[in-house]
Amino acid sequence: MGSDKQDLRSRVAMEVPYLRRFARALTGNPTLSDDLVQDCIERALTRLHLYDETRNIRTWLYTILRNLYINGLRQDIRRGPHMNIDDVSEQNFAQQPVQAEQAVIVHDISKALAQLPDDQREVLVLIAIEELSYEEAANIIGTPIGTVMSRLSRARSRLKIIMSETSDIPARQSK
Amino acid sequence: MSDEHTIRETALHAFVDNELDVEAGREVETWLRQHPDQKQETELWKEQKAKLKAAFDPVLDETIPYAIQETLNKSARPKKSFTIPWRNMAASILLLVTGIGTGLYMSGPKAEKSWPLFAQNAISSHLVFASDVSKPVEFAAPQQSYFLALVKERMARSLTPPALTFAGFKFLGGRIVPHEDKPAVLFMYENVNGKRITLLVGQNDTPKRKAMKLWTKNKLNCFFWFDGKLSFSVTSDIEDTKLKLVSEQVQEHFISI
Repeated sequence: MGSDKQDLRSRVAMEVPYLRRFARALTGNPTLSDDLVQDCIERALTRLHLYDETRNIRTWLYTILRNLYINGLRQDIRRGPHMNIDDVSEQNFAQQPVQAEQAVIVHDISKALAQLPDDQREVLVLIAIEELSYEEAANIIGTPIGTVMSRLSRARSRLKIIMSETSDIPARQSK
Repeated sequence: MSDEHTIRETALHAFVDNELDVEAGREVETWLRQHPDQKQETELWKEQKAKLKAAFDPVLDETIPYAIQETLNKSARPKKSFTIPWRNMAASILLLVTGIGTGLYMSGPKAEKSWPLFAQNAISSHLVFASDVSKPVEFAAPQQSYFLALVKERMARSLTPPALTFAGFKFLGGRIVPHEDKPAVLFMYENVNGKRITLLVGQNDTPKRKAMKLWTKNKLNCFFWFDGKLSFSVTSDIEDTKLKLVSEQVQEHFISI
């Protein structure tokens, strides 16, 4: 049984890259997202006895991470001082790609994603970036599938509007 | 927006996200060929997705930060919430290896009684309070802040009721009930059909760790588990598969607070 637990621990370890991507897309901030991942892993490793082997370990971990994030937002501790999107330095966003042309696009989509309301962003992140099914996303968030679908639809429309606004103002400078 | 429009838009999203079966997918494809505007819209969603992947997939290849690696490597001993004496860890491993029930677990024979006892108590609480039509809870949802302050005082920790709206249950309120000579908290939920779910959180003398189990009695299903100093149970007469989903949601809620 000890080795089973060891096996479970290494399975958690293998999920870390995905947890980091999920957290990064949710928060838009590398430091904050790694704190979140660390907190999630700490809790998961001390709760392995609660993990049901019939369930997908990734979605189990995502649920824990997502709840930690939401609770943090609620208590307004995790987020720290509120950051205006235009004040945030480049390095707070996802890793910048090498090619300059691509950088503009990537930069915009990260900014646009950060501007979505929390409930729309998490749905889009789970489905478009993490490529989960609607049902898995619904289980993680704890909503009916219909809610996931309507939030997804709103997220996509809103992202479209934000992206068209930012591309209209190419030389938008931070203060 | 007409219903037809909504249905169609839903199908288009499902198409982009590979949620449709082959036949339904083909139908949407055919339909899109005749509707260039909507076709363009779905192309835009795909483009959004590709851009999002391009922005965040590189995170997968980054080196795992040292602090996270350290967390993964250190022993499974919990840091802040409670400490398990080495002896109890050994006992729990012995228990898992031998599989001879809970007799040796943590605090001797008394502990063996306490796990079904907790479920028994959960079922009794459900029978007594969930059947009460006029006043099932001592503190109704509108008095939540007062009630949660009381819970914090009696349980020596903050416990918030998880939202179960995804399963169609709304929070009714709760009360403090006894469990093994200590205060426990009973949260109650109700759906539109008047079905009720009770969630009991009790305190353990010694930390216990047990995965979720189902206990059925008097047509009531009770999922319960132990997580350190707290015992949890979710009881209702709704079907066990649905109650299990609710219980998982409850469990994950309490892992994260």
